[in-house]
Amino acid sequence: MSGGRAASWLRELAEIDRRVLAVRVTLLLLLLNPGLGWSERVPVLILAGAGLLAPGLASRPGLWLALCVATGWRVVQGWPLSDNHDYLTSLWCLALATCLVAETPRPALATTARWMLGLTFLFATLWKGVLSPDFVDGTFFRVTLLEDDRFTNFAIVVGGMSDALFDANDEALARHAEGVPWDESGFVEPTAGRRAAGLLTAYTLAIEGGLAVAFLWPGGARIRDALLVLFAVSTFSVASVAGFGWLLMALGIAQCDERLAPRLAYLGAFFLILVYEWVPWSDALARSVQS
Amino acid sequence: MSRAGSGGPRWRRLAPWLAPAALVAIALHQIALAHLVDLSPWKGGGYGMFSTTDRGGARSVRIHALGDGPARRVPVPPHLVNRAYRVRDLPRASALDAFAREIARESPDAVVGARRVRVEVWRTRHDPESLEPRREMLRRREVWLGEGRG
Repeated sequence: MSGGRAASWLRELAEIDRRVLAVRVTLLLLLLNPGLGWSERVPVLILAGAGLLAPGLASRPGLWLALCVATGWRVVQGWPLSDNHDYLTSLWCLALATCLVAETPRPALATTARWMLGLTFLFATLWKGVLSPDFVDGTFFRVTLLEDDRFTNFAIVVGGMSDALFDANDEALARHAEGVPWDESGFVEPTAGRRAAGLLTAYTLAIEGGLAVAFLWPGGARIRDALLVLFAVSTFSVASVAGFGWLLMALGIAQCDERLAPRLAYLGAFFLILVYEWVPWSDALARSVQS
Repeated sequence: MSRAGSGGPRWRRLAPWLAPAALVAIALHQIALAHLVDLSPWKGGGYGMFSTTDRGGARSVRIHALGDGPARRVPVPPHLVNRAYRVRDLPRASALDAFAREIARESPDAVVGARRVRVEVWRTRHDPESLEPRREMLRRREVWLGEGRG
């Protein structure tokens, strides 16, 4: 892309109404993450696809109410097994529907998105910092690095684990289940893993608590966007919950101001999460560390 | 939300608050369920994911048929696995009772001669120092089937 074309593209991006950009990104994430079963996917794909192809339709509250019902149905039908971002997706569609009928849709959408982001991180911090007995003491991340398949590559790269050690620990757990005392089972937790778990615990509490404050406290405007993009770029490289990441980026765009920099940062993070999700970069990294 | 144009219909001013209000209501409901009926903190829309080792995969459902002899372990039929996941993640007494009756109805061979079906939900906790896993029973319910099935 030549410099002139890039400048023209950036100018165009800067001029897009924030509400329109948030709506487009939301439709895109719904197409990327429409649900698991066909009965969930088909209505969401049709409605979101129609919204992207017919921009006039995307500004109608009716489309968003229909998407709220379609995504909400997945939550009701799967109760209580749905993931947290499934609830937030449906509520965000409701927010878009209700803000489009407000007297001043754009500021209404910005305020609603800000509150929803702040409340999401407030409850996430409440669970991690207060309600769960095993997060603050580091147990959660120590166990997760050793046993959760989604964190295997991270544990290999920074936690001192290896495929051989994972296999050995599986055997140790089986021995313990058969009655061998824990101390004699041969289960190993590398020192690096324990250290990494401690850092992850502290970082998660700090950034999620910081996000709750930044989005709920009126004076937090200056650091909101930077914190949310930092959270997305760091967290979703480890935790494979792309749907949640894309949704947070859509809410971020809806509440950010008209400057080009935060828009570019949110869009960049959106596509980086896509790379995290679909490119097996962490497999390659883990393999290279082990070789 | 915005104070501009505050002379318009009241519902148009209040409508944008509906989604944040619903978010708070769902999250508070989830916290209540987690504390009252052991809903897994990962589920229910309260943003408790990645906060505890008490997730669905660390829980299990055990079913036993009870008659005159020793208790017999009853496997979950493949078509009821999703129901088992729901019971595991939200082990309400009513759900456990309904699941026990459904198991008796759907797996008649497994409960031949049994008078009761017992359903238990277990979870794994870890010692905060050694990480030794320890299983603890969350809920247990028994459902009376009548005088010896089969």
